Amino acid sequence: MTFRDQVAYLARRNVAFFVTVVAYAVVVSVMLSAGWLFPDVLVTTGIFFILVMSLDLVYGYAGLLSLGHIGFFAVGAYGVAILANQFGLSWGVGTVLSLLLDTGIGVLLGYAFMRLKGSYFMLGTLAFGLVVQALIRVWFSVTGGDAGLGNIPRPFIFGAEFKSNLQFGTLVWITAAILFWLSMNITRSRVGRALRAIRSDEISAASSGVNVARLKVNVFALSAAYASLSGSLFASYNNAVHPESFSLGALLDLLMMLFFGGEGTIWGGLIGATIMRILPDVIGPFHAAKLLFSGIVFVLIIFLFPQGLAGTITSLLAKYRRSPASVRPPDGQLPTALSQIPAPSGAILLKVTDLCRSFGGLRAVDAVSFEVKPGHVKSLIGPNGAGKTTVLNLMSGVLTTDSGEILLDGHALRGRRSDQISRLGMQRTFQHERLFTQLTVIENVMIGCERGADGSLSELLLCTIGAGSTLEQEMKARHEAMRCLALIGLAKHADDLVSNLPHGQRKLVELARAIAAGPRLLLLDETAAGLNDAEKIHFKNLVGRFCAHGMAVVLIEHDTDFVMELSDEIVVMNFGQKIADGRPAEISRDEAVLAAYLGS
Amino acid sequence: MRTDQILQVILTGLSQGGIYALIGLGFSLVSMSTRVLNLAQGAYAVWGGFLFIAMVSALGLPPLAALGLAIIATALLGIVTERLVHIRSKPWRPISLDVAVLSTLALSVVFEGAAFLVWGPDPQRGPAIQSGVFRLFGAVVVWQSVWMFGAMIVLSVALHLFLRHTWMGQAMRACAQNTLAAHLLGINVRRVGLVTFGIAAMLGATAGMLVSPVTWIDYQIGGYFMLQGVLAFLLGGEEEVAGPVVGGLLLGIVENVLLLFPGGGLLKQVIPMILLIAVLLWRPQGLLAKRAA
Repeated sequence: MTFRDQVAYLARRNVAFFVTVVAYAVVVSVMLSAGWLFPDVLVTTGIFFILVMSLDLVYGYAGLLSLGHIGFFAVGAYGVAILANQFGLSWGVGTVLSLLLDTGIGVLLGYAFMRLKGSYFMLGTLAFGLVVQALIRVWFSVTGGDAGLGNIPRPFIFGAEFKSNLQFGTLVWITAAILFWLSMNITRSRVGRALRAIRSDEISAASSGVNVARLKVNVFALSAAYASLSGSLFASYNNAVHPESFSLGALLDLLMMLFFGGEGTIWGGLIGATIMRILPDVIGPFHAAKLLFSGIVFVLIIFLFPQGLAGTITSLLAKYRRSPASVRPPDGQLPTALSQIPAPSGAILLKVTDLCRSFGGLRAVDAVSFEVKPGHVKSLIGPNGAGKTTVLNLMSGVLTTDSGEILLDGHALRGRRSDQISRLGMQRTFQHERLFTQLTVIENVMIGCERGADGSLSELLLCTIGAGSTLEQEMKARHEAMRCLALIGLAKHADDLVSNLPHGQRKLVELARAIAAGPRLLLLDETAAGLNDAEKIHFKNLVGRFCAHGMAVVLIEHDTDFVMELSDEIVVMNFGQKIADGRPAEISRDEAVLAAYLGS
Repeated sequence: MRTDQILQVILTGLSQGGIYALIGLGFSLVSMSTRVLNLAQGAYAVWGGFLFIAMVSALGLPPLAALGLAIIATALLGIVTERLVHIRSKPWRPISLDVAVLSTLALSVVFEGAAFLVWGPDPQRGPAIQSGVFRLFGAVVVWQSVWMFGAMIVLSVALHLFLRHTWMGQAMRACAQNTLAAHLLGINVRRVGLVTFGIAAMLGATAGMLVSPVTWIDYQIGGYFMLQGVLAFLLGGEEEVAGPVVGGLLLGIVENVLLLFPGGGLLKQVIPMILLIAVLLWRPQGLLAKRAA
């Protein structure tokens, strides 16, 4: 990678950050000098921008709608206040301690709530936020109850004290800008992509190697840390904390900032926070009706304007933006992932023994055993409901196995999660294609290239600070994804949204995503089903090339001629049991098979 | 600790738990048949309570008539909620859960703000259905708390029978399983939704009216009611009637037992949350629900 490439890449990656900062600075200075915006409002806008970012990271990216972020915010604020009042600690120490506490709570709640589906997650986090507020009101001796606490010190960092509002405002906005840059780094990195993949389709993300649970918990904790910092700044700026600032009404204000600005963009929060901070001045005379008014405004936003201002701006810009020329590799270059697959040998790659799985009283898979050799195509065929897809789901960890063994190159797969199995070298496609519909074609494939994200803290932190190594990984992944797309024949659609592609091409994107990880074993569930004759020939050639590199393929397909031509061996299933296993020529003469297909 | 003290605490817990259970039942019913978690559930209790007080004290209606009218009026709020939440949804194209929950949150704030405009910021106390106390094995029991517990038992039994044995109840359970299939089989999904939200609002209103002489009612207390209902519902799990009842009673008893200890006011806020996290870690589906396959 040349220096010029790096500079160009960095520039492209940070363009949204710089454009937002410059545009915002211009607008704000005009408004300040015209007297439309008070400096005081500007400072609190910065504080709330940090809070909105924290919510956008978990909702806009991971798709976890947390209704408890006011709780983290409150812990940050009261932490500083209590430590100063009870122990005389400075702002800095108080902030760090409450940050640690909040992050700890974030990890704990993360683990507790991550398994909750959809609205249960919202309820759990909502309960947390309400409990924090109740605690503040009840614990008079420490929190001051309804009267709140005062005497909160201003920050004193490196000998500089941020006493005046101008100094404090500068501190707030520098902090906000740094956190904004860090958040933008996350969103432009593999972690951001993996998060959006999770939001789009969790099962598919896990099958592509994303450690869903760990990643979610990490991001939730990071977001709690953001909220905590914002709370500490808030307490210090107002020199007081009061339970009213952390009530249900405050939660609503926060949600309005996020949705008015537009979720899933980070910079949308800046617009939302600014507008919502200016609004009270506008509706000043109707103070008594403020609650009613915000409720009605929120209802209107949700129903009329779900994408928010940022969404509107993006879709306006999309019309004028020329499509970014994705880096194009020299023609005919093969994906490096393919050449890294070990060459075929006589050894057995996959060994399935006595696999069983029941749904209630139905034995969907009943003592099925088979083996797959490297470089071979093994097809699973059988009538509808024979249990073929269930076998694939058991192998890839999407369903849990009742009994039996699955060995992939000596590793027992039973009991492992989808993402672990994926990282051991097994990739799959789904019968009803499960792509990440909110991502572009190349982003989908890049998830495959990186084998998802392992969800480790080091990965998250490296991506957050935008380390040079992540930059290089990013470029490599993009090149590799282009090579995969070129091989499949979809290079010209690289920057299209997946949701805009026709069905057959989506299936091919899913194939590209799977092979990008360089799997030793590829599971294809009716991938050729939507293809026309020419495309099928292309598909057959592709599978041949994969096998030549030593990849083993397990194929489910209904087109019998197609299966007979393509397969080295065929397993026939009926009512959950294996009724035949052998070469195509043997299978086509097998009496049990003929009976199952034609009826005896 | 004397036995009559413990008995006292348990009896109080049961009556309060009855209120939590009523609100939790509203959550459970709506979430069961429409998959939406209705955060406006607490606001129904507030409106039920306020309307009841206003009809008795300002209009001078007899309590029973006021009770009926307030319940019907609050049911209208439930119907408004349903219409708004599902304004864009079709049986074959449901709205996203995020949007649905957010819009109920927004509506709860609308209801709260409207209550503030009408009744102001001060708490009000409602008339009791039956005033006075009696003694039971040395414990003092307020007659109102007998009504609180009794109403919960009667209503949950009625609800159970309704869900099992009437056409509308069966239709609700069908919608819970598969809305699209219910629609294709000719069930009017929208009407089922309306009935569900209406009943949920009535349950909330009943809770608000019964509890108003005990805790008083102000415009902000909806958030507290909602939290207790949510806890009852999550603790008990997705068992349509029994779940919230068991969860609510458990919550009521635990809260009151904690008051016996020093610092009980604090423990009362913290322990239910810890209990909830423990239940979620140990049995994510709640205490009663069967484990998902």
